[in-house]
Parts: sequence; C-alpha cells; structure tokens
Amino acid sequence: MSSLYGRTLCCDPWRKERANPTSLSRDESDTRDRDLLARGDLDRLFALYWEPVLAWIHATARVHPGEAEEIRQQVFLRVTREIGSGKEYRLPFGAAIFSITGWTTRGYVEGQAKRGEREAAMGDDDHQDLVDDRSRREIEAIGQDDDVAQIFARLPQREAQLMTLHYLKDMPLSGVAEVMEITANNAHQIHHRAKLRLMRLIAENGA
Amino acid sequence: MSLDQMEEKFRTAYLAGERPDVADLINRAPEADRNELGRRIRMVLAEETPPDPAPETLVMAQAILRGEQPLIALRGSKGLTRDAVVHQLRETLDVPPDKEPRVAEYYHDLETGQLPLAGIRDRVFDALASALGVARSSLMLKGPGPSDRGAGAAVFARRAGPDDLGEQPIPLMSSPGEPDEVDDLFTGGPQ
Repeated sequence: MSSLYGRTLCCDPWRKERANPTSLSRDESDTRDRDLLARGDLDRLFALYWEPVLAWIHATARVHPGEAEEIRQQVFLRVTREIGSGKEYRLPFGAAIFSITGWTTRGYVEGQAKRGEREAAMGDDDHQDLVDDRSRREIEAIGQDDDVAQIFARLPQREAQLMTLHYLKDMPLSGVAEVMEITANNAHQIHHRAKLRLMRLIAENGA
Repeated sequence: MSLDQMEEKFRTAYLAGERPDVADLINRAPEADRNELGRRIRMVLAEETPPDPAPETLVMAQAILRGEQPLIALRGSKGLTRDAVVHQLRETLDVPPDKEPRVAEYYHDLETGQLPLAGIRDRVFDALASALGVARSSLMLKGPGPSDRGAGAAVFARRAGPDDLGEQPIPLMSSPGEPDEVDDLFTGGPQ
C-alpha cells in the first residue's frame, strides 16, 4: 500500500467521519485526495479539481475564457506529468494544485505583460506580485523538502512543528503527539488548524 | 451588492454544485473591489471541499489520462456524431448554413487538440457546451499533445486520432482571402 506522504493509509484517523461523503470537511477531503492518489484514481481526482482550478484562475488574474482554458490545460498536464513520473507532493493535494495553478496563472500573465500584450493581472499591486521570484521558486519546487519546510515555517510555531514532523518526517499524528507531549486529540486539532491556515496562506497570495 | 454578499453568493452556489462563473462575478464587481473579491473567492476554494464533479467531467478526465482527446470521448459518450455537433454549433453561433463546412474544419481542429484555445471567442465556448450538453466550466477541450507523450510515460499511453469513432478525418482546407466570421469566431481572440 503506497501513500502520498510516505505513510500507509491503514491508520486513517478520519475514516469514521466519512459516513456522509457529501459534506466532507477539509480534513476528510485531504484524506480522500490522498486515497485517490494512492489508488492511482487520477481521473476522479482531476475531475474533482477541474472546475475549482478554473475558478482559481479567474480569481487570480483577469484573463479571457480561452486563456483561462490554456492555463487550466497547462496545470493539469503538468500535474499529470509529475505524478506520472513518480513525484509526490509534500503538501495536501488541494494545496499543491492550487499553488501550481496560481503560479502557472501568474507565469502566463507575466509572459504576456513582458511582451506588452497586457497591462496587469488584477490591478497594479498584483502586477508587482507577478515578478515575485521568491514565490515562483517556492511553487516550482513543491515536493522539495526544504521549500515545503519554508512554507510550513510561515505557520505558528506549534503548527509548523507538527506539520514538519507529520509531512516531512513521515510521522503519524500519534507519534507527533508523543514528541510534542500533547494528547492525540490535541494533535488532530492542531493539524486541522494548520491545514486550514496553510490553505488560507495560499489563497491569500494566489499561490 | 456588497463584497460580503458577493462572497456569500459564490460560496452558496459553489457548495451547491452550481458552477458559478467567477469571471462574470468579478467583472460585475466595481473595479476597486475586484482584487479583494478574487482573494475572497480563492479563500472559499481553499476552505471548502470541491463538490462532486459532473459525470461528463469524469468521462473527459478518463479520456485525457488514457492519452485521448476529451471532446471525442465526451461526444462518443453522448452518442453524438460530429456532423450533429457541428450543425448545432453552427446554428447556435448564427453562422449561415453555407459556412457549415468551415465550422466543421474548426471543430475538427478543436476536437483533435490542434486549435489554440486562447484564440477562441467567448461565445464559442457557450455554444460548444450547449451542443455537447454540458456546463461550460466542465468542458475539457484539449488532451495531451505529442510532446506530452514521452513525459507522461505510463499516463499518456497514446493520443487519439480523429477517427476514434470510426469517422474519417476532415481534410484541412485552405481559407484564401480575408478572414471571415467563422475564422474570427475560432481564431479572433478574446472578446
């Protein structure tokens, strides 16, 4: 049995909570994504994110429908290539694909702006973001531990510590709880808050 | 409508699986609010679980991962002939009947992944979604190209040709003279 983060799926802490698939929490959604990846069920995973990725593109940059389609195409072809070549994202899949979407969108718009084909993405402030090499490098490097650690470092200390141990050290949450000298329940709560904060950080910056 | 109301409108529609048109929502917002609305929409997307995809989206995703063109797979799943889709497309776009062969050319290029998407006029996407009976945002328009075959290795096993449904490829015709309205629809750029 394989897994996205190097952990097996036998100890899924949210399994009991997945009785109602129509009201998945973010935790359950991450677990489902990880499960789909582990099973190689990429078509369902891609179908799930197909429309949210388009929405993310339009919420990040003012692009025309055909351009948005081109960007969406690039995102999914890239992710398909990376997964096909064995890459494992060291982030929840939703965080990874939205990050890649933001970066791809900005790269597309930046290319057009440099060629003088457009003025800006979503206003002058965002245009400055388009040439933010630091954020671009981070997104390009998703999957490399050092860069993911830097993303985690933006979280509050306890959340960063837990995410690092769980995702980068492949430690189950029960083990993380022991190391951090907290209860397992507390570890789950911190994990939940950290993932939400991570997603919000990505949303805040567009990538 | 206030920013809070627009955000709530998006969240409600998104969670209900109604596929809200984000571009339209942002375009309707006052210029000064658009960046903030975009940020808020990304926040909703980040926080909420993606709703279940439409069955047609799954059909198209499966086709892409088999290395096939998604529009051909979708049309096949709907039991539609290429001629029927072209005819419907031509009618919806209000193009004169004598130009249906030109629409067929472009549709062929689109279906086989040869037409740059950025050049397609906005209303063609609506007409296409209508002709194929899917939501516009669900459409997957292009599968992997030849350069993706090696990179995807096991994922992109092969690339579908235009004759996957037993139809002959439409010969590409030259279009001498000035670009006409059909050229403009499919290559004229954003509108």
